[in-house]
Amino acid sequence: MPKFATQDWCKEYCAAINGNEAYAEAASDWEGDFVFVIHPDGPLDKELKMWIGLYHGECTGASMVEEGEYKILEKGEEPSGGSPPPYEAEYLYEANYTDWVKILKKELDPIRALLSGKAKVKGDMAKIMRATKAAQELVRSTTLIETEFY
Amino acid sequence: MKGFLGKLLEVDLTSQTLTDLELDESIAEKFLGAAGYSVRYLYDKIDKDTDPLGPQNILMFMTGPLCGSNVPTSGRFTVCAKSPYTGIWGEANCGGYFGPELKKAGYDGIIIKGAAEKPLYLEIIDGNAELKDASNLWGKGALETHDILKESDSLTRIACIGQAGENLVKFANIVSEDKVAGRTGLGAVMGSKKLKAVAVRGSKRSYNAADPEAFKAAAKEMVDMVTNSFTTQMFGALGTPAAVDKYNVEGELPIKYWTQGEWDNAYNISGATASGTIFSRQYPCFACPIGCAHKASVTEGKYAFEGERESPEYETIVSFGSLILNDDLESIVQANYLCNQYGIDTISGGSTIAFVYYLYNEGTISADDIDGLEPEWGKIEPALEMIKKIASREGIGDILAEGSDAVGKKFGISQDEIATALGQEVPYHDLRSAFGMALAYSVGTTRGPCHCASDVYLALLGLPLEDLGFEQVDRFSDGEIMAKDTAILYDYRALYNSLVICLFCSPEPKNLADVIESATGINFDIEQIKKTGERIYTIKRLFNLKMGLTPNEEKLPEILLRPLEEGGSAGKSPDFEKLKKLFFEIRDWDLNTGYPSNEKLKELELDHLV
Repeated sequence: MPKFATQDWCKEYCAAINGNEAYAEAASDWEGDFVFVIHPDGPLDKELKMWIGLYHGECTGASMVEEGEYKILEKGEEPSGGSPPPYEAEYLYEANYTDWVKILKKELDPIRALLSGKAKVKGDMAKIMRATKAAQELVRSTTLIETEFY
Repeated sequence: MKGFLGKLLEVDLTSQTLTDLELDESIAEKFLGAAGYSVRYLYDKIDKDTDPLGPQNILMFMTGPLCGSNVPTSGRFTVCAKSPYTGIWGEANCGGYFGPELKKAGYDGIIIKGAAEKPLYLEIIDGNAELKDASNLWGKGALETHDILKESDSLTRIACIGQAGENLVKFANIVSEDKVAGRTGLGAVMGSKKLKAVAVRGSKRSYNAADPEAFKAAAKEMVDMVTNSFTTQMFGALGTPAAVDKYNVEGELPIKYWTQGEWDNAYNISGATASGTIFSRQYPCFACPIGCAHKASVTEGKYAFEGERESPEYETIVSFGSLILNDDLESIVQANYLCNQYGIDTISGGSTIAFVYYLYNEGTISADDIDGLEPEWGKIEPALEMIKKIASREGIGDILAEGSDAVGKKFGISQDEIATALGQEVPYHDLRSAFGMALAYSVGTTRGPCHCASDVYLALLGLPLEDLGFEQVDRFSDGEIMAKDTAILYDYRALYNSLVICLFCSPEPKNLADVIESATGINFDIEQIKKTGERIYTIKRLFNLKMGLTPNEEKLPEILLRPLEEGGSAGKSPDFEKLKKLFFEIRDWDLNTGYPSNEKLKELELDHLV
C-alpha cells in the first residue's frame, strides 16, 4: 500500500486516472498540468509537492517535486515544450495535509475547499470553474488507490 | 450615534414639502440602519389596508451605519416600502455609489410620502434638497435618465425608474449607476408617486467611527480577509455567473422552466465564457475589493453596440439563458440592457417570460394568445419583444406586467405549475439541489422568495459561520440541522441588510461584531449579532403578519418540488412539510397563526408591537 504523496503513490495515481473513463470524458478538452502543495499539519511535519501532468483526459505523468524543480506558468505563458524537469504547470492547488486527506476521502469537495478558504488555487479561474466534473473525477481516482496516510 | 450622520430627509410629495428629521437613535440602537431601521419605522405607519400604489404607502431610501467607510461592500443602500407585488414587506438593496453620495450630501436616508400630481425628481446637493419638474424625463428609460441628469455634473449619483416603473409594472425596479434595487416592485411604488428620480451630490466625505483606531483595525482585518478569499478571486475574474458550470453539474441551475436537470450548452453562458468573450472590464461598487460586476462589449453581430453595457448577472443569465434554453450570451446582454433601460426586475420579468415559453412549448397556449409571438425554446427574439411589451403594457404585456400568477390565471393554469411563491417568482438556486432553499423561497420569507435572505446554497459551500451555530450538512438534507441553518442565515442576513453589506463579503462573525461596535459604539459580540439579527428578522415577520400573511400561504408549487430526471440532483426533492414544521418549531412560531410565542417576542423586546 503506497504512502500518500510518495513517488510510488504518484505512479499509482497516474494509472488510476488513466483507468477512470468518467475522467477521460469529463476532461476530454482539459489542458493544464497541476502542482499540488501539501502544507504540513497534523502528523505531517514537512511540505510536500506533487506535479500531475493532465492533457485531454489523460494523466501524462506524476511525480513528487522539490522547490525549484517546477514553474507555475503565468496566464497566457506557453510551456517551453521541453520534457520535465523543470516541471511546468498552469495551476497550483494548495491546502493543509488534514484538508487534503478530507478531499481524498471525498469528505470535502475540491471546489468547496476553495470557496471555504481551506484551499487556494493559482491559475486561470475560467478553466477551473468549468472543470467541476473533471475535478470530482480527479478526486474519485484517488479513491481507487489503497492509500496509507501519515 | 456614530456611524450615522443623524439626519433624514422627509419628502411629502402631495404637499411638496421637505423636512429634515433627526434619526431616531432608539430605533438605530435596536435595528441598526437600512432595512432594519426602515421596517421598524414603517411598522407603525403601514396597515393591511394601505394601498401599496397609493399615496399612503411610504418609500424609504436608507443607508446603514457603515456606509461611506472603507468596510468592504458597505457602499450599498436599501429601498423599502409595502410591496405592490406581494402585498407584504418590500425591500431591495443596491450597490454602486448612490449610498455613499447620499451621506456625502448630508443624509442617512430619505422618507418619501404622498404622491405628486405631475412628474418630479428630487435633487439633493450638499444638504440642500429640492423637488424639480421631471416632465422632460417622464417616458425616458432609466439609463437615459441617468445620462440627462448627469449632463451638468457627471459625479451626480442617481436612483431612478424607467418606463416600467412609470407604468406601474408590478415588478419594476429602481436603477442606480447600472446596478438595481431589483425585487418586490419598488420601482412601481416610485412610479405611483410620480417620482422619476433621486439625484444626489455631496462634497463632504467623512466617516466618523465611535472608536476610530479599533474601527481601522477591524476594517483592515475584514479587507484582508475579503481580498484574499477565493470568492473574490472567482467573482472578480468571472462575475456572478462564475459558478454556472458548477451549478449545472450539481443540479442547481434552473433549466427549461425548472423541468430539466442538466444542459450541455450551459458553459456557453457561464462566467468562464463571458470572461473570454464579452467582458471588457471590472466595474466595482464603492469600497468593494471583490468587483463582481463587469462591463460588456459586443462589437459584431446582431446584438453589437457601441461602447460598454452592464454585463448580465447570474440571475439574468438564467432568466434569458438556461430557463428558455438560449445559449447566446450576446443576446442576454441585450435582454439585460433592455430590462435595465426600462427598469424591469430580471428575475420576475425573466421568469414570467420563461413561463410563457413553457406554456407555449407545452401546447397550452398558441401564438394567437400572445400577440402572434412564437416563443420556441432557444429563441430569444420573442423574449426581447415581451420585455418591450411589459414596459409599455402593450397587448399581452399588460398581463405579463402583473407577473406569472396573472398569466397563469388568464390561461387557467394550476398554481402548481407556476414557479412562484407568495405571488413572486422564485430566484435561481434550485431547491432540489439545496433543500434549505425550500424554506428560503416560501417559509418565513421576509420579502417573498429570495436567494439572499437565507442563502443556504452559498453557506453550505463552507462560509465561516460556525460561531453562529451554523453546521455544515448534506445539501440534500431535510432534517433539523438544515431547518436550523436556514433560520440562522435568515437572522444573519437580516443583520447584513441593516448595515447594509453584500452577501459576497464573508468575514468571521466576530470580526463583523468588532466592526459594528467600533463604528457605532453599541456593544456588539457574537450573541448581539444573533439577537439583533433575529430581532430585525422577526419584526419583518410581524410586518408580514400584520399585512395578512398566514402560514397556509407559505407553500411551494409542485413544479419546484417534482424530482428531476437527470443531472446532479436527479430524483431528489425535500419533504417540504417536514422542513416547514421543523422551522416553525425552531422559530417558536405558532403553526396556525404564524406568530412568534410571547416568550420569543419578549426575549427580542418586540412584545409591545403585538
